[in-house]
Amino acid sequence: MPTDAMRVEAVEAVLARLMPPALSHHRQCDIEEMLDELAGPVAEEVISPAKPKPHRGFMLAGLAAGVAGLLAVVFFTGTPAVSSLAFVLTDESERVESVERQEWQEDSTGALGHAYAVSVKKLSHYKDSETGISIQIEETRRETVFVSTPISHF
Amino acid sequence: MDTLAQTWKLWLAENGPRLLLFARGWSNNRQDAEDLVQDAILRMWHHQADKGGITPDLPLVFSTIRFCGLSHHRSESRRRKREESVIYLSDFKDFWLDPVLEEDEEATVLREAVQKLSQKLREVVVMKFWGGLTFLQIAETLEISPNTAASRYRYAIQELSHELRCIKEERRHAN
Repeated sequence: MPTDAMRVEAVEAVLARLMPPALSHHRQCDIEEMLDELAGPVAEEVISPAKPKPHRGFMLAGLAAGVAGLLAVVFFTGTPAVSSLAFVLTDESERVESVERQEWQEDSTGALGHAYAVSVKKLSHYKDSETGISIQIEETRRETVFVSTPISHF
Repeated sequence: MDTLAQTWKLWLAENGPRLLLFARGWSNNRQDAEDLVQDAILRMWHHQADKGGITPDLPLVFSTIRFCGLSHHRSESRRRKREESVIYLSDFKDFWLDPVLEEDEEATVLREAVQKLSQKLREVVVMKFWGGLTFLQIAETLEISPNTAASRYRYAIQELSHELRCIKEERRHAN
């Protein structure tokens, strides 16, 4: 008497002799074309070697060196010496970020007044006319402003 | 060097037949099933784009075919209601499975038995046997418990086993 396990094995043995048919040739081609179309732009981007553009490489290298030099000059001297580079100052502005009132103080003449701690941000825009690349340099500085109070009576 | 499209083509060559077989359960004929497979692959392509375009896991594709099949079935039902006067003829030579060996009577009978299984049982058998999925993967695909998936497989095999016994008895009587 065959057991359940034996029956299952018998059925599975027969099922193993059945195979699902492949997609029709026409459909296979359709799907493959669809995949090519879907992958097209990406594949082109990945596979095709970039056209040799030696000038662009030099330009980018030069630009990177220029920006690095500019930042170094700004960092060490505090004055952007952009005139020696291709970057030209196109816009410059300053804005007060915060004002903090401090305690009463006396100035050198003995006048009494309020000191204000002012945070100022300076924005400088530079542009390289050759590459069209622009950079923005931010400088934040803190200043103390003394506002004397006029003595009106004794 | 393999491109993304070539990788997918290889994947399709390997898995196309089992996807088609599963899609047959959700369509009226082979062409509709191939439509479902193509639709599912298109959806999978976009779905996998976020994952670097790698080929999808089979359970996910089965699930997508099922979703596409359900959508297609709904629109097909509406269309049929509009065209009730049209008589649809079945193509009896359009089988879902092919016997590996010629004149394999048992296999020939069982392939018809597989097609006659209820959809719930058949899709489990297809995914388990020809899809190579585990009961856990089948359960996730069909949103049922693994125990239910295993039970459905067992019931399906019982039905097929009954069909097989009937053939053998018929043969014995014939001899």
